[in-house]
Amino acid sequence: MDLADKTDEEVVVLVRGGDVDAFGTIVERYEQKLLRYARRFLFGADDAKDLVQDVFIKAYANLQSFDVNRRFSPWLYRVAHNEFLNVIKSRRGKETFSLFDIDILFPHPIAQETADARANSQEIRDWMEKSLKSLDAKYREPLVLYYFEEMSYQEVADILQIPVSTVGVRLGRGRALLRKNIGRDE
Amino acid sequence: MNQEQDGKNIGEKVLDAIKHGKVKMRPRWHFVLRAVLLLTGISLIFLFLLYLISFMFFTMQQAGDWFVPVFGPRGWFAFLRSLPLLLIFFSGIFIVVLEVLVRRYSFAYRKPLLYSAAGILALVLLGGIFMAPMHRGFFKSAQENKLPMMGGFYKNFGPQRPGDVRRGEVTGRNPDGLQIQDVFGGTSTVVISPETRLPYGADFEIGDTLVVFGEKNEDGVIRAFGIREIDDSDFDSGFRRGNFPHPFFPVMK
Repeated sequence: MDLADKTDEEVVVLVRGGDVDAFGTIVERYEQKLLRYARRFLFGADDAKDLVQDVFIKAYANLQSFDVNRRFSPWLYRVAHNEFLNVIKSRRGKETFSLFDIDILFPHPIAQETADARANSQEIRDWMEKSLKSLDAKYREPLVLYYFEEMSYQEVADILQIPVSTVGVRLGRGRALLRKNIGRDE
Repeated sequence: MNQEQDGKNIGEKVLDAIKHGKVKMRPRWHFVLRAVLLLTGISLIFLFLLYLISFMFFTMQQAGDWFVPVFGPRGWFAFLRSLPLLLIFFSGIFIVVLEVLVRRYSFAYRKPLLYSAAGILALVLLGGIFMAPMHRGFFKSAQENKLPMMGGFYKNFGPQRPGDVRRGEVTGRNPDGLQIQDVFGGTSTVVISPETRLPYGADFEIGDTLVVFGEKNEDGVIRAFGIREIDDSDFDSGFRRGNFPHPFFPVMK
């Protein structure tokens, strides 16, 4: 069977078994996605390519910690999230980042996306392209993961390690802020 | 085209680094060891928390403060004033540390922090109540000098504290009240007046264990505001027999 026909998890098993070249398939499948994630989440990151390279290197070094019974994609994005968060922390003064967020403390009703909201995804993506810079990292990241990387609530929750209901809250607030910012600009 | 070039560069660089040995895959045992250490850390902190909280309950039961809320607002005030704040402070710190460690697991971080914190709190409080009788054994061993390491700790921190609450055994009766003896052998005279709050049909006998709530004057006489009888043995094995030494509904004869 060709590597192209194998799932990410099957390729990881091969890499862990010593097939280093198979890791090239993983890099091929995810480099553009991670570059897009890095550029949108860390807007203005000139070194996005170096950062993504570091993400792959860290992913390779820690590949034995991945549970092959779970999906590989959220695990890799978690590695990327940690790497990108370090960049945000190093940008002190330019960007706010708090270790504790009250949103994760209390339960919130999970407002899953409605059909309308799904239909409006393209419109929200357009808003994000114009106004993403104006959002805090804590709202920017779930929006990028949900609308551009097309992750589910559960996957976003696993990547950010926050409650599923908090993902809904941040997406809702992020969209409201985007709408507000777009309205102000226009 | 440009994207293809970008991708090629990253892929080549990553594979070069791996093939030239600049990056090595960490062995599986490294992660297994980390997981085991994390689990061990969580278990140790949880056990230590259980110890701290059960010790806190033990000291309050031993001093009698645990039972005074039955005497109404004044009892509640004495109860709150008697809370071991230092132990509560340290328990709070360990609960925060435990919460931080537990939230590495998906079953915890997928739920609001309030749920996992409430779960931890409920577990350590319930566990603490159930483990409190264990300290009675340690305390007895300390009194008999059979507890080498922790003996001093139990003797000094354990039972009686200054305040309006005293726990003791009835050693004598007189027309005005009773004589009681605390765990250290100190005796007090308890004066019972018509205003003293007593359980219905109370008839205290020599050997009964009482909690006496009232001010002690300069002569060492306690004017009892309220008295409750408690069953000592219920603290040793009460849970096994289904008796729950609840602070507000203590086991009474």
